[in-house]
Amino acid sequence: MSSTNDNKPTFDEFDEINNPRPDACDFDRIVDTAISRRGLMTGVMAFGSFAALGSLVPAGARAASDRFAFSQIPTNTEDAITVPEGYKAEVLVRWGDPLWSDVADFDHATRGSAETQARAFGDNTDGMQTYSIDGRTILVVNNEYTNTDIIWGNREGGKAETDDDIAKGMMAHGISIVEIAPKDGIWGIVKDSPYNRRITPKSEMSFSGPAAGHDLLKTDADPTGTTSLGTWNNCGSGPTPWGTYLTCEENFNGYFSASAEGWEPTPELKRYGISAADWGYGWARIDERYDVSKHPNEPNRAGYVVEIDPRDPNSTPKKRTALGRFKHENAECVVNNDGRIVIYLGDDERGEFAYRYVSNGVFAPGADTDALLDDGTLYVAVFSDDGTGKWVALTPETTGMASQAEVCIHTRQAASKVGATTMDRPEWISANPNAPEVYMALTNNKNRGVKPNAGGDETPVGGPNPREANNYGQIVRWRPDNGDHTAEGFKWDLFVLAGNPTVHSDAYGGSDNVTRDNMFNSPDGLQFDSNGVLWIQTDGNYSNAKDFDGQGNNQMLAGDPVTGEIRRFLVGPKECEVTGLTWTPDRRTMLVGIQHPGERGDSHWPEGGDAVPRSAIIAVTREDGGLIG
Amino acid sequence: MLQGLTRRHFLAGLAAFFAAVAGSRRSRASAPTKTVRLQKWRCTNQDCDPYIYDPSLGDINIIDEANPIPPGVAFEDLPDDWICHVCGDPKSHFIALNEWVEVEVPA
Repeated sequence: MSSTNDNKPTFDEFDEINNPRPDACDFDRIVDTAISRRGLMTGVMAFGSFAALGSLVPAGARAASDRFAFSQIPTNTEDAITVPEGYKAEVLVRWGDPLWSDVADFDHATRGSAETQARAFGDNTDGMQTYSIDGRTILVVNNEYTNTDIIWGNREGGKAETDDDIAKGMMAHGISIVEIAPKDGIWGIVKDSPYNRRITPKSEMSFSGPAAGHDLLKTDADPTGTTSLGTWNNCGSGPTPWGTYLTCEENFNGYFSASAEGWEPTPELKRYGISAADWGYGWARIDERYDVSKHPNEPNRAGYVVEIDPRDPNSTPKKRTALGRFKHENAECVVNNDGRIVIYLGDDERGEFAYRYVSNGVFAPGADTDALLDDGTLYVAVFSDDGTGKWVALTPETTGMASQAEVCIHTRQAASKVGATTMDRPEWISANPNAPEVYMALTNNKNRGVKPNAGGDETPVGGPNPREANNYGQIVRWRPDNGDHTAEGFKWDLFVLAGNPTVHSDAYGGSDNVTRDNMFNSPDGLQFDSNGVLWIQTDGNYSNAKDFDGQGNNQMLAGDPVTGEIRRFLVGPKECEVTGLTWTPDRRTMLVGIQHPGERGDSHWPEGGDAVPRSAIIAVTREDGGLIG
Repeated sequence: MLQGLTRRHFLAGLAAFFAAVAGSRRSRASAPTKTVRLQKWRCTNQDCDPYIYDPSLGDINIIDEANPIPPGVAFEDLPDDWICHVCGDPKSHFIALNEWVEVEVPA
C-alpha cells in the first residue's frame, strides 16, 4: 500500500479520530466492538487481516511503522524501569501500601504484621482490570504469592518464626480492590474508598456450577460442598462483559502439606502436584485445612476461576466450577457473534492443555448473567501439524467419567482421556479486538520431547510446540472457522518463536520477527489494547548469559498482529517478572505490574538504597499526555 | 549470576570430584564404606519443574559443569553459591522434604 499520502494522519491524530477520549472501560469497549463486528464480518477473513479496522482507516495510516508510537529501547540489566523517550513511569501502588488511613505505612524493618497486611495492598501483583463505577475508577488486582525470603527477610534465613509471620504471608495473597484517581496529573490510590476491599484466603466464597455439592468438595467444615474459604495464588484475570472480574487460581497446590508420617498423594492429587511438603508457606501450621492428610478433599476446592463483583464490596465471590479445575492462567472472555459467551483458558504446567468454555445462554446487557458461567460446555484443544485444530467437548460421554461434576473437578484427567495436545505451558490468552483471532503465550517447556506430563501423556515435538527442550517459548494464535468462536474447528499458526539469534542459527534463534535488537524469552502476559496492538510481557531467564545472553531483565514488548513486527517498550528492574496490564478509562495511562523484584536478593526497587524490594504497579504515561493503547 | 564461580567453590568442587573418584576406586578395592541417610530437597520457585535435589544422584552443578556434585553430598554441604539447574534459584529457595535416601560413601 502507498505511504506517500500527504494527508496521512499522524499516529496520534489517527488515535484521536478513531478513539475519542472514552468514558467507558475496557469490557464495554470489547462488547461494543464484538456487537458492531457482527454486522461487519462476512465469511473467512485472511489470517491476521484487519478487515474491520481497515474499512475505517486511511490507507497510509496502516503502514507498519505507524502501529507503534514509540522507538524501540535496548535491553538492560539495571535496577530500574526503562521506557522509551517521551514516556514516563511512576509507581501507583506497592506491596504493603495501606488501603485505609487507619493502617500504618509499610515498615521496612518488620515488613508489617498479619493485621496490617490484611488491610494493605497484597504482594506480587499480577492480572488486573479497571472498572468505571459511579464515576470512579476501581482497580482490581491479583496478588499471586509471596517470596518467603522477602516477606520474612527480617527473620533468620528468611524463614517464618511466628504464627503471625505465616498469617502475614497468607494475608498478602488474594485480591486487592482499590479506587484510584489522578492528583495533579499523577494517578494514586484513594484510601478509605467505599469500594476498597481485600479478598484473602480467609474470605468466604461459594461454589456454583456442575461440581457444587459434589462429594469430592465436601469437608468437615463444609459438609455440603457448597461454600469455601478464600482464594490464593491468583495469576491472570479477565473482565466479563457484565462488569465482573474473573480471577484465576493457579499454583494452589504449593500450600498443602501432610502431617501424617508416610502420607502419599492419591494419583488424582498427584496429577495436580499435591505432595507431603508445601513450598515453604507453612499454612497448615496455622490453619489445619491445609493439612491434606487430615482434609484430603480440601485441594479439590481450589484451582478454579472465581467471579468477583467489584460494584458490591459485600458480595460473595463465586467459584465457577463449569470452567474446570486446573492451574488457571487467565480467562479471556469473548462475546461471540450469536451472543454466547466464550472463555479461553490455559493450564500453566509443562505438557498441560488449552481449554475453551462456551455458554449455553446468550449475553444481553442488563439481563441476568448468573447462569452464563454455570451452564455451558468445556472443551479442550487438539492441534494438528497441518495448521488446523479442533475443540473436543469434555463430558461424561467423551471422557467416560461418571458425571460432569467429576469432569469439572478432575479436568486434567478428563482432557488426557480425549487425547488433548500437550502444550509448552499455556500462559495468557488474548483475543484480537479487530479480528476473530486469539493469541496464547506458550512460555517454555524444558520437558518438551524429553519426558511426559504428570499424567503420563507424551509430549512429542511438533505442531505449535516445535522445539525440543524449549527454553525460549512461543506465541500461538488461532482463528475459529467462519469467525465463529463456538465452531469446532480452527486454523492456527505461530505469531512468534522467541529465541536468541546471537547464540543460535537454527530454530532456537527464533522466528524471522525476532532480531538481536528485540529478542526476549518466555512470553507470559499477553494483552491486546483497544487499537489491536498485542502487548507481550515476559517471565523468563534474566541471567543475561549463555542462551539468554543479551536479553537482559524481563520486559514488555508490543507486537503488530498484521505485520508480525515486535518492538521492546519497557524493561523491568532486576529479578522481576513483568505481569499484568490494563489502562485507566481515559486510556492515557497504562498500568503495568512489576512482580517479585529481587526474588533472588539483588534488587531494592522501587525505593532504592537499602530498601526492601516491593512488587508494585506502575503508571506509564506519555509526556505529551497523549493516548497510550 | 551464572558466572558466579569462586575460587573457593572451584576448589570445593574439585575436592568433591576427587573424593568421589577416590571413593569409587576404594570401593572397587573393597575399601571401607559407610551408608548415610540423607534428605531430599525441593526447589520452591513457582516456575520450576520443580527440581528435587536427590543426594543419591548428585547434581550437574550448572555454575561449574566441569565439576558436578557427586552422589553422597548432603544438601547442606552444597556450595553456598550452588543454584537450581532448572530455574537458577539459590539454595535458600529449597525446602527439605520428608523423603530420605541411603547413599554409600567412603568411610
